[in-house]
Amino acid sequence: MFRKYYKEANDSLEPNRALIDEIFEKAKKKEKSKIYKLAARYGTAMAAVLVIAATAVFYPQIKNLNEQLPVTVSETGGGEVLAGESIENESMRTIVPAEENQGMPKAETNDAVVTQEKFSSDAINKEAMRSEQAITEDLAVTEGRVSMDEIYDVTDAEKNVVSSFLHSIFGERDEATQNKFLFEIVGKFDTDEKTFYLGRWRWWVGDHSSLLTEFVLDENLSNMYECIANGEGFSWTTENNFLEE
Amino acid sequence: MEEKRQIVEKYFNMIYRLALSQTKNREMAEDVVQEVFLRYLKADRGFESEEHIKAWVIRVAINCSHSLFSSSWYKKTAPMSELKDEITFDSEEKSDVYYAVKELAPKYRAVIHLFYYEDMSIDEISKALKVNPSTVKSQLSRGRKLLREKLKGGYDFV
Repeated sequence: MFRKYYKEANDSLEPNRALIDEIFEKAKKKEKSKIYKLAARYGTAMAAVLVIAATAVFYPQIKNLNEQLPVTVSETGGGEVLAGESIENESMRTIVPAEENQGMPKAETNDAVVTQEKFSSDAINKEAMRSEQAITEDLAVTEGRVSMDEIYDVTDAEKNVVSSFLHSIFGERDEATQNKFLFEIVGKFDTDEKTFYLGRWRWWVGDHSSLLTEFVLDENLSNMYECIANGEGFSWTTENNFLEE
Repeated sequence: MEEKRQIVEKYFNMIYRLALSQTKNREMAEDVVQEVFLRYLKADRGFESEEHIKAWVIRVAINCSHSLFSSSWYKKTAPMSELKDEITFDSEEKSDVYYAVKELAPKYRAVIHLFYYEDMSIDEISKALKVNPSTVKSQLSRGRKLLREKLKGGYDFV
């Protein structure tokens, strides 16, 4: 008898089957974000490899060019730096002044070559750093993370303002299902640039509410992104701004 | 993916009810269901058989339900009033047995639910939960004893 009643009781508890589609949607989104992260990671690694390869490939040419440079300068015998015409940096012109170069001991000439090589490889390194920085900046723009400890409380008045704003944007109910929306503002946190609200977007299904997504919303109420709880905190991408859709 | 969808659809109700028996709250049960199946869809491991998948999702559901309560998210955001989720039934008997199970400790709830609702054998439960069959037996026996006390002996536990 216990089994019969327990089965009947549980059978009457119907889950929301629409959740299955939500699960597959979320899985797709996660897969996309995984691909993006992998691409960014491999992009950075590829850039580093390219820089190293470029340095290795062009090193003999740079070396040859630099070996020729002091000779050309000394051959002109004057203030004109013929080979130096390709040197755009004005400071490099002062490295091997023609007058000094005429009687320059060999060791000093080599110093000039070394300085020029250093300049060329510095330029390549700077380029590599710039490209890595661009990738890092790109990631910083598209991703955010916050730990639970960084979240602080929001006043009830503020919660009401934010919730009313979200209702004014998304409506009181979902158009297709007529399920009533519920915006729960959990707290607030600061990033280097902005202050965000952290919230949960739910809707009422029958007599209980069901979670649609967690979100972050900036204090200016202009950007709202889906976020994912990851045990110790939340992370989000700025790929889709709900307020722009 | 189609194969995985069939699995999700097949075990969706089972995991929901198991999660509900553990969390005692419909919202939290849905959160657990989402987590379990997202993990399943992400899992790269090769499952040997459908029984293996079933055991795996049951174990993940139990673990997720337990970790949900200890997560900082729920500690911070879910007030106790929200955790109380009253469910009404059309008969007193259903209500009595359901709430009697609900009052048991989680470890007894899990084995009672799997044994009496999912009709799983002691061996199947022990494999799914990765515990010794004798542990399942003793938890089942202790769970039944507690239920008899709560229900004042009005039901048989075959």
